[in-house]
Amino acid sequence: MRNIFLLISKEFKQIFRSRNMLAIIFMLPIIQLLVLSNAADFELKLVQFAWEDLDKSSLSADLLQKFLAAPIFRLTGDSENSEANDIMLRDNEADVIISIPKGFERDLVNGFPSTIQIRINAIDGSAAGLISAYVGEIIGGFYRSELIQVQQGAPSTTSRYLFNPELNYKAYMIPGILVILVSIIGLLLTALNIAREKEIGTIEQINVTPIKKYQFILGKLIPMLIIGIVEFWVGVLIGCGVFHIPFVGNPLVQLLFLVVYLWVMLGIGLLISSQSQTQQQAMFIAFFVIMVFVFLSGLFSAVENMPNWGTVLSKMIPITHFIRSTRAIMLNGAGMMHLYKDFVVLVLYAIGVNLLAIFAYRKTSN
Amino acid sequence: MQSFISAKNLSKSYGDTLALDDVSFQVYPNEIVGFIGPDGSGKSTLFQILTTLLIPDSGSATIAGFDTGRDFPKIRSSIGYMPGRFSLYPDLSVEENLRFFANIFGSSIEENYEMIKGVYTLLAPFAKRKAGALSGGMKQKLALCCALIHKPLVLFLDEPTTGVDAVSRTEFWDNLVQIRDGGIPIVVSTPYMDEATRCDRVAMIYGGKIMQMDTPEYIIANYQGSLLAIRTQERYLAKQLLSQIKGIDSVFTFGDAIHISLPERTEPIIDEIDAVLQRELSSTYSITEILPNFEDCFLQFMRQKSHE
Repeated sequence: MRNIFLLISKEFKQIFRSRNMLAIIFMLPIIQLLVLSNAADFELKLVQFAWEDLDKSSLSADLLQKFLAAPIFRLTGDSENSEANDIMLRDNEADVIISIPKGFERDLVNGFPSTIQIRINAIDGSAAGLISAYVGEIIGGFYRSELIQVQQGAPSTTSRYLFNPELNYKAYMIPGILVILVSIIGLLLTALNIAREKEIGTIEQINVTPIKKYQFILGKLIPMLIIGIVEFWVGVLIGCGVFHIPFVGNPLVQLLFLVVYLWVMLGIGLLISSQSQTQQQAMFIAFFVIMVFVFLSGLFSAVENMPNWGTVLSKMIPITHFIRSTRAIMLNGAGMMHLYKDFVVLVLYAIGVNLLAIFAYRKTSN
Repeated sequence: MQSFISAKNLSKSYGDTLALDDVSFQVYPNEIVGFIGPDGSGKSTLFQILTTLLIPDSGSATIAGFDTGRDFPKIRSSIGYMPGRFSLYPDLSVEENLRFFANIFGSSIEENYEMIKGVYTLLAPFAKRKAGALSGGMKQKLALCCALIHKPLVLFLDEPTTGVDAVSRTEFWDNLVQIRDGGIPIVVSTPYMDEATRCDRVAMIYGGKIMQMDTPEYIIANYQGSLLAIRTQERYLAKQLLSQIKGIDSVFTFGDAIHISLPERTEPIIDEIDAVLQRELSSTYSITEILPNFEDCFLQFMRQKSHE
């Protein structure tokens, strides 16, 4: 116990002494949180559209007015030449072409259904989906307001958004970004820190002392655990204070998840360091692991939309479970009752990874 | 006398490379034993086995009666080890490093200050300086202090003077003698031949084997054959000429002279050397008989070994 305490105090002394280390641990994540939350934002701010009116009627002019009245739509082309419009689409001068067919007004007045064609640049798939939805909404609204016998009795849908009523995209992203940052710190710092002791040879000196294997490991992991916990809550404060993210759930449940999750990350860091001789090696492996985690975590793409193998892989990595539970706790106020499955997975991971790491880390080489 | 360290038939290989080949020796209380050999001769491997960092493929070693394999926790808490490269925390100060290593052995600087007094007085002005910012000689003194601060039963120093200036090296050896006189046996390795004479006994190690182990005086006195030193301006030409003469063991450059080792000092061969040099060299030269130093002895052993 005394030895562990000595190691921990040594570790903190080293961390607080190094200005670079402090910057990496505390300033970088805060800045990243502030910047990433604004950058990693899929909200559509501007849609450029080309108007292709083959009808030239008063009703089609009314519909155009509806689009011009919407703040995010900006008219960049008005021509009947469909080929020219397609070129605009190709050259990114328009994101969408709205094509009104000949006889649009006549059909509507006579009560026939009429089809409006929309052509969207779908290189950015998620933006295309949003554009389609916005265009559909404006056209739907136009049908309901202006018209007409045809629409009567036709089913209409309305949506209500729960838990995130203002569709605040940041509320969705920030818990995820926070989790990634905590993961990077936990995993990378642990891996680098132990690899550093190997690289500068201090581990050889430590090995010829009464310090035991588990004491050395705990002396490394506990400071990182404390740093991870502090960092997470600083991030939560920033999220709540700067971005007005709600924190509905029980902070103690969140803390419990966080501690278990950090043990998983620290264990992976330990495992990486046991297999590397230098900080550079540790850095490369840690970087690779984090990349996989970030892309499969469901942070940038919903897990449900991944191909089957992606969903399976995603469920296999611990970060997915922690992102999901963090979002659920922060935004929905979910409790242990709803999240026990994620919790069990994380606990199993924590135990498994750490056992593996301790097995791999041997005090006597060979 | 009862031996303090006893190694029996230690062997260790890394893949196909045999790093230690059946090494046995004893170290007695109150002596400095030096392991002298070129890089890659197996010194560090031997030290890692003795300090319980490596397990030998075969053989065993005991320190103060404890087996390096079975009793490694006891050995770890009772030896002082200075690894081959600087292994202290560069971002902690001199004092913090010392305190840390004292504390993890359950001791304190104050309790054992007597142990390090001789060395630490030189370091004291830099107590607040970070270890990484010290000069080479100071780093090495700090490492010695850290290895000593828990009052070990024996000191293991792996190439402690490598990369340290000549003055610091002399000071360092003075310190080692003091420590030995204080009752701590020292096992030290070095690639520097001139340091051999500061040891009480020397083991010459080459290719993973101990070629000979004895007092440096005995080793020098038992040099086989005799040595001639030839001084001339035309060293290169002279060396070429000399290596063609039969009956010479070896010719090698040593500082500003050429050393010739003869299996035996006889007048005919000296006359022949003189005649050849007289005929071929344009400038003056001198031939003197010299006493061998430790390096000559080491080189002779190495030659014999490679001829086997």
